[in-house]
Amino acid sequence: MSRSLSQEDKKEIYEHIRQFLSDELDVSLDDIGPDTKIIDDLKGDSMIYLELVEDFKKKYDVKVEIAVIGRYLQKHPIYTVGQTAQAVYDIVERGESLLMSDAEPGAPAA
Amino acid sequence: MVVFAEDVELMPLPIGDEGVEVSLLDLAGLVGMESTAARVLTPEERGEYARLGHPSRRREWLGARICLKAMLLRRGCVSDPMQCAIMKDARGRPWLSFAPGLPGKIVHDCSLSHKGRFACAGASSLVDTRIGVDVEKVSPRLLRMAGAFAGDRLSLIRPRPPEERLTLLWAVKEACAKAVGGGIGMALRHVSCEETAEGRHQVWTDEGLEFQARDFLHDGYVIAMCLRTEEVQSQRKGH
Repeated sequence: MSRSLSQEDKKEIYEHIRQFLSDELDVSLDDIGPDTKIIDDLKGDSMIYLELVEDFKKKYDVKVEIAVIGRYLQKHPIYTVGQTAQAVYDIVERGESLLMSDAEPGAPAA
Repeated sequence: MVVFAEDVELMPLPIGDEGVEVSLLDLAGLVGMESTAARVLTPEERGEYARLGHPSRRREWLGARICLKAMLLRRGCVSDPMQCAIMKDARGRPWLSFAPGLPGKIVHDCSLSHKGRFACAGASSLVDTRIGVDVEKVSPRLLRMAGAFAGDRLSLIRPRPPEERLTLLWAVKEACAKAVGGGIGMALRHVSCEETAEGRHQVWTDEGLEFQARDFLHDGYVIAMCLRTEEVQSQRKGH
């Protein structure tokens, strides 16, 4: 089932991601912006993405399989906080139809 | 000749094979980072190093490159760490650019990883083979996300504690993703991993890719190495 996120919802998701990264990686919120690279600038690791995805799946009751999210992220690589927020918007909004509007891979994998 | 490898304590791991070598470097022994960087990194590599802001990230990034270059020196591929640059292709996979005219042995593929105390590097001289390595600390962190692994299958010869089991599975998935350049997206795909002999695994992904994998436990860290034989496509154009 797909849903539509308002600008307010998106803002809340973005802020939640910032807070999550700040708490988990022990970094000041002031140092986390949309262009901040999660691995290079904040010293995150790949597991932090898995934790973020699981967190949002629970918070928004998203039923998408993790492997489907993996396929999506192969087409839409995420490095920055802004890209991660966009991926979460898509996962929450599109749900199980996450891959349906991705006709052909357009972006190179990470 | 620059004597560089002798002052680096590399630990060769027993998860290599003929033509494949994996080593670990304890970052606690990495002192004088900036002077070491100046001795080891080519100008292009120094540019990338300078763009890294986080001190721990810089340390791990440098440690992984020192680990790989020390391996190349000991294999006789180069006699000076500056004779080779570790580049990245469009998928973010590392590849080696050697100075022209080197008589040394060939390394066809390489992989880097770092986590906490350790940096790790893998090098393969096998043609048409991709290597991926990953080092992960065994911790309760993955237990909170056990549900994310529900679609994976892991069959082991001897039972291992849940934390170690999940860490092994994650390290194998990461190493497979690194072998093909699939990034975090590929690491989230489902795999079937079957231990065929102690520390040796056959791995299949849900998209039909097959890998040979090895794992090793050292001081609370799991190190995984995955190999995939394939037609090597030219992904390095433009670099």
